[in-house]
Amino acid sequence: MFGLINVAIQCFVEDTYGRPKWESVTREAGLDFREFEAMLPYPDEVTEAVLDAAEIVLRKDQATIRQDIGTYLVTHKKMETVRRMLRYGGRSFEDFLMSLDELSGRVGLSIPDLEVPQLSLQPHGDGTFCLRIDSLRPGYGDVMMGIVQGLADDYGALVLTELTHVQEHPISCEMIEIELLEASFGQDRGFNLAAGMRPQ
Amino acid sequence: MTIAVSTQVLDALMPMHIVVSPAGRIQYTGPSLRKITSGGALPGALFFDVFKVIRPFGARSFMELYQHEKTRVRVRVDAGARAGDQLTLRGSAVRLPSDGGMLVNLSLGISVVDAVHRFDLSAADFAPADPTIDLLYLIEVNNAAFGESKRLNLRLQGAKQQAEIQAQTDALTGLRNRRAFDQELHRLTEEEIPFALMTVDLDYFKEVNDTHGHAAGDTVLRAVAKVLKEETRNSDYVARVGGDEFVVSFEGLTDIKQLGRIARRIIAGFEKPVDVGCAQCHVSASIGITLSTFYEAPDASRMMQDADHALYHSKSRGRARATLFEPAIRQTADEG
Repeated sequence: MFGLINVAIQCFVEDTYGRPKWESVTREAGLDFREFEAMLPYPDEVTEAVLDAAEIVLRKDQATIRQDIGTYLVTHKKMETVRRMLRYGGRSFEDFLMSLDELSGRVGLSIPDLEVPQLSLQPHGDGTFCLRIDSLRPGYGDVMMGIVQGLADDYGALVLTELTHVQEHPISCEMIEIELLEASFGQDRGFNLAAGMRPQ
Repeated sequence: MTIAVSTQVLDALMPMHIVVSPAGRIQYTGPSLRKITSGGALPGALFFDVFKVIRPFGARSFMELYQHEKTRVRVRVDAGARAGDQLTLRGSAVRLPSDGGMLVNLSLGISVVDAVHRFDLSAADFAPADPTIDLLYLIEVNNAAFGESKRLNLRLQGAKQQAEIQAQTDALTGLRNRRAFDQELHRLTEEEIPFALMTVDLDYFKEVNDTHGHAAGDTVLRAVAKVLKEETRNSDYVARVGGDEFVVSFEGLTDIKQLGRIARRIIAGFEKPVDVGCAQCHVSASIGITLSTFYEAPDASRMMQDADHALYHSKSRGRARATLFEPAIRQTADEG
């Protein structure tokens, strides 16, 4: 698994539960280090061990943790880049949903090592959508639930989401039903194109 | 086929277009271009007053642009609050068959990052078919990934330097380095363990380097390092502490005869010719020895000095020999 994903898990645990909890997670997972590097690859087992350990240390089931990670990715200040990447998808929440089809390709262009599941959105025409997530491993459905909910808040939209279908073998296919109740329910946090162009 | 399109349609398809009358006056400017030229490209203004045409080279009148039905154009325009702020835009100009006027469609090209900044452009300022937003997306993600890689490199660089500082091994010979040897001497004196200290200097090494080059010199250093390892016990501590200087500590060994035998074997080993590919190199060793039992309170740096005095004595007596330290030697050295 590419380091970025492990770093995301680490930041989530640290920023939500504090550094000591993260250290407990790494000990529980049997890691001989405490910090993940975003640009280095790690064996998949490491990520699995970290999530298993988080379940024990944080006393939450993995589905909830994965969903919380999704929300964290698009709402925490430290993860502003992720929010911006997704806000490039469009001006409205619906535009954003439509842009998810392209997400895997977009990410692949710039960070080829980052494995992003293939997403496809099917609008039902009545304000409800079905988001299909195909990937090599299950679990992304929960993360996407968190991301979609977080981005809905970001756009000021009110949505309901539900994981309706999970198939794990031979390859993972998960489906989320999204119901857009109100497009402008709250304040849109906005998206300034120029903000990301400043030299780092 | 001819279709009539309104300026609203043009706005939607190409928000950076301008319609110019046959007389060369601006009739209409698309919304994004209005934003960039800060109202400069107003209806009624002369196209050539507002836009300085760079390409086609030297075109200063419509007649010159009109010569072709369609032309690639590059123009410079005042853009921004300060005088002198300019942007270069590129695009195409086509002659309108209806009235002989011209339709010019422009794009920001490579100026886009700059323009997005200066005019606070948003996705709405670009046509959906325009891949500019994707370009901006890529730039932003690449910057983030590049920044992360840079941070990683800096961290690795720091870790490498740290590792080098903490290293205990001489990279060339695989022997311990000075830092490690100092720690060992400290341990021996702290724990009051009797030991012998031997300093070994390579003779004729400079000639090897000068004659056969540094690669040959390295080969010789590795060969003599091997001799030192072979002629000492595992519990002895062998280190390379300078270019051609070695030291050995013999824990628990203070038998002068035994040390003499070891020194002779080391010298004999050093004197075996070393094959460096195109030639054979001949070196030897000068050795100085001192014992911790010579001192009431053995001190590492004092013992190193004394062993070195003995070593210089070996050198001055014609090299390729070992000398045991005795106070008289130091006196000779001090007087010399």
